[in-house]
Amino acid sequence: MSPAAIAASVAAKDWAEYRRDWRLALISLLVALLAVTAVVAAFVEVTAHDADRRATIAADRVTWEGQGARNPHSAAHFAFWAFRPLPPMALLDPGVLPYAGSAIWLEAHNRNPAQARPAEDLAGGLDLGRFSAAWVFQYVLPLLLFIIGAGLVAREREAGTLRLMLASGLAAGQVMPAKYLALGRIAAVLVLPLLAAALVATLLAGPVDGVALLLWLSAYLLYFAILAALAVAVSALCATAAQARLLLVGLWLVLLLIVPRLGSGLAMQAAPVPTPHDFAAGVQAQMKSGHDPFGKDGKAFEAAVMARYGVTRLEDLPVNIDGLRLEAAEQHGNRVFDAAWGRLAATHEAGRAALRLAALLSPLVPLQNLSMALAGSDAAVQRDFQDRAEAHRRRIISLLNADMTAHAGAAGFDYHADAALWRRAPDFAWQPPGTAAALARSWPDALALGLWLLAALGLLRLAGRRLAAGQQ
Amino acid sequence: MTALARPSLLAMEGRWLLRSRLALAVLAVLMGAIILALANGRALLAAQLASRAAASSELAEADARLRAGMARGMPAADAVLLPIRVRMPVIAPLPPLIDASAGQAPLAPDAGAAGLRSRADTLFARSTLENPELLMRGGLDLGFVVLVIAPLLLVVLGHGMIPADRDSGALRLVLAQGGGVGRLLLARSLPRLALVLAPIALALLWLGLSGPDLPGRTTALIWWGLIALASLLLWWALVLLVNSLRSSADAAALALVAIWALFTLVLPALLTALVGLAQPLPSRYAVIAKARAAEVAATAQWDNDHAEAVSDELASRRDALARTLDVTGKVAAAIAPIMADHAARRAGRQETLDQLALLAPPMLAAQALARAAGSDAGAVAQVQDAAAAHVAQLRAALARLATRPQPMTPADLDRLPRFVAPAPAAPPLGALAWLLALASGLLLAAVRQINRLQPD
Repeated sequence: MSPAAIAASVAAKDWAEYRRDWRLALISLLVALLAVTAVVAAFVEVTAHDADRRATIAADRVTWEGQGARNPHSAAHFAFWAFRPLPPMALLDPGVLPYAGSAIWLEAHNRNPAQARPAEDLAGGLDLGRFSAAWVFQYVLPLLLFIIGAGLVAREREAGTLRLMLASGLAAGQVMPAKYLALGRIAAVLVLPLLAAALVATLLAGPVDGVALLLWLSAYLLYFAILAALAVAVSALCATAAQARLLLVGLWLVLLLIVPRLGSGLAMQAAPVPTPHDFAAGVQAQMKSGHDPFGKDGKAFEAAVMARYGVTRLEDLPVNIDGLRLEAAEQHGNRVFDAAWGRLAATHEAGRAALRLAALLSPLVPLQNLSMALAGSDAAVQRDFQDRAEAHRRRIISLLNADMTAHAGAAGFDYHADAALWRRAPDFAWQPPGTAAALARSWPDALALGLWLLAALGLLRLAGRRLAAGQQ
Repeated sequence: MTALARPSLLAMEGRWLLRSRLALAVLAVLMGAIILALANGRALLAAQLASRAAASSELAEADARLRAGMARGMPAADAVLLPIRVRMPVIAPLPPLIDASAGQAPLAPDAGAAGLRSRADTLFARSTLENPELLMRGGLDLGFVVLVIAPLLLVVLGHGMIPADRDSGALRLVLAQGGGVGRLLLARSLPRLALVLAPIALALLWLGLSGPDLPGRTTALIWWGLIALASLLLWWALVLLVNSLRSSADAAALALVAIWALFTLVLPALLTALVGLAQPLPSRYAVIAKARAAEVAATAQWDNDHAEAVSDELASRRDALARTLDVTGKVAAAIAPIMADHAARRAGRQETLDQLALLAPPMLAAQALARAAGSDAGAVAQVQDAAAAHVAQLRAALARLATRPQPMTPADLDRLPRFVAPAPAAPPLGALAWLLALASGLLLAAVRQINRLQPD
């Protein structure tokens, strides 16, 4: 028998033992049911959110167009809401979206933060992550892989079959690849049906970028490959299966539960976010200290406008000056908002960079970053939504100010526009950035996962060498 | 073996444990996690205190400016707008033990400002600047250590107390020296429990001694400690029960880890998701759409939102103020039923989850720890409901001031209703009783099984 054939028969033996162990089979079945439940729950959530969002946008449009004749600036104060759609792949990985606001009020004079965070409505409990397919793949399946993998080599040693295996022609260095293959086969049988169910549900939820989906799957395959290598290596390095199992459970606890939380805590301290009151007070102070065409800078503004139009009296202006004042105040506000929100984004980015350090200690951190980015549910996508909503706010307010400038004439704030103007204001439409952008911001995470795989395979090789040296 | 020999068996087991590399590793992981949890708790506490202090000071300055303006005296056309300028602080009480169990606090708004134009649904709308990426990862607090890490460490320390000796064939010898399975288990249990419980107790003591002097903190610490103790005793009773079965150390470890994963990892997530599906809350978007429609309908004759910009004449400003009152009243009336429905359904969902938590003791313990700490979802909801009621009350009081002919005075300002934080929830006695009952039941079952146990 060739070594490859022996390795294949070792993998077949492990598969048979796995199937015969009713406890493992039962746990696997429960995990499968759990994953299917997660997919169904996410499908219901994503489709309900989309239906709700569409209905609200439609109702909002009716309200907007039916508001009757009024001054454009009055309309600017009520303006629009921007509602964030859920990308279909959020069904696989909701990422940060439950913790980020999904609705932004777009009004004159203000850039408002996103509100309506789903996590605020969560019933309290033991929060070890949002229930989703990604959560099952990130936490539950690794635990199962570790439990199954713990005994693969250690049990052979305990039962004395390892000696038998080596005596039958399998070199000690070939045991590890054979066991890795065996665990890979078991993992594939566990994971593939669940992935298939998740993918079908995702495709039903809406159009999905095939490349993103394939890359998402690849990221998880890489993750499982890392964990399987760690499991087999630890199994080979430990004297007994019980020892290996407890060490692997400890590793699971540290790598997947403690380190990401540790990273998050350190990142919060390294990049503290301003309190809402400090943030709002800073913006208000900047707004008041800048250009004020309605107050302290009013006369200079009037003079500049009259000079631009070549007139000497406000009454001779061919445009309404209050419309111009509103637009000038808005432009000043926009500069203040850009600076303040830019600083906030930089703080969030610094937090992300600090968190990335935890990727050196846990493969879950880069996997989550990559998974969320490819699913279109990471913080960068949320920021893009907020920035696009702000750009939309500015377009709408400028449109309304321009109408007032052009048509209000001497009536000023008594001028009323009608539904023709309201119809010219488009709905907020947003497409999340594509896969290329996701990859551009996630390559360090992909690299970290690759390094983790190399390290895990290195450990596997080391365990194989120790096995060969011991010839147990 | 005589009774006098008991302490020596205990001492021997204690010494053995202290020499064990496994025990040292457990202690290192536990101490590391506790130190991180305390550091995180301290940072959260400091941030929450700073946020409340900033809001308080900002509103106090606004109040001082308003009073100074009144003292200086102002034209009637300006004085008429005073009710619109009043901003009253709505500051949520700081959960007394937030540094032990963060609960919902990182997501909960801590401060807002109520006034004539405030709405219950947007009172705290500006408090969502946190980094969602970090919120998603969750935090590591002392509650997490007690609920997630410590039980696994108990499993690591205790899974093989009897089975390991049985596997190696040494059980008969050990029992001959130890004087029975029960006494052996007791002698092995106490040092192991002490190894896990003592650092947690020390951490609680440190919180008690170093923490800020918050109302209810000592009571919270006592209840929190009792819940933590009951939860860990429950896990130890389970460890003893598994030890009393005729299984190998490997099978015992597998069973205990599987039970831990089922009750700590899977059931809480599954139950929360299923309850969310079965009892969905009314959409937040529906509140938005309804409020907006009401606002637009009520403002058909409204020039803009700046009452002071409409005109500098008293009559015009009075009219503008009246229109503002009309609009806010109509919007509040439009959204009140949806808000009430939302609050009722949220409470109903929480009640269902509380009942289902009886099936998953770690989930029950998590809720009880957060409740003892004052940071549970119920406490957050209570504050929000109280804030909504306060907004309505304040708006009514300000409306009365805005519609009377006399201008507002500092005495009127003093008489305005203040936000009163809701009374703290009752201590989690039911949860404690349930955890203790379960621990006792498992312990009795373990003792019965142990009495039947004979060395192979």
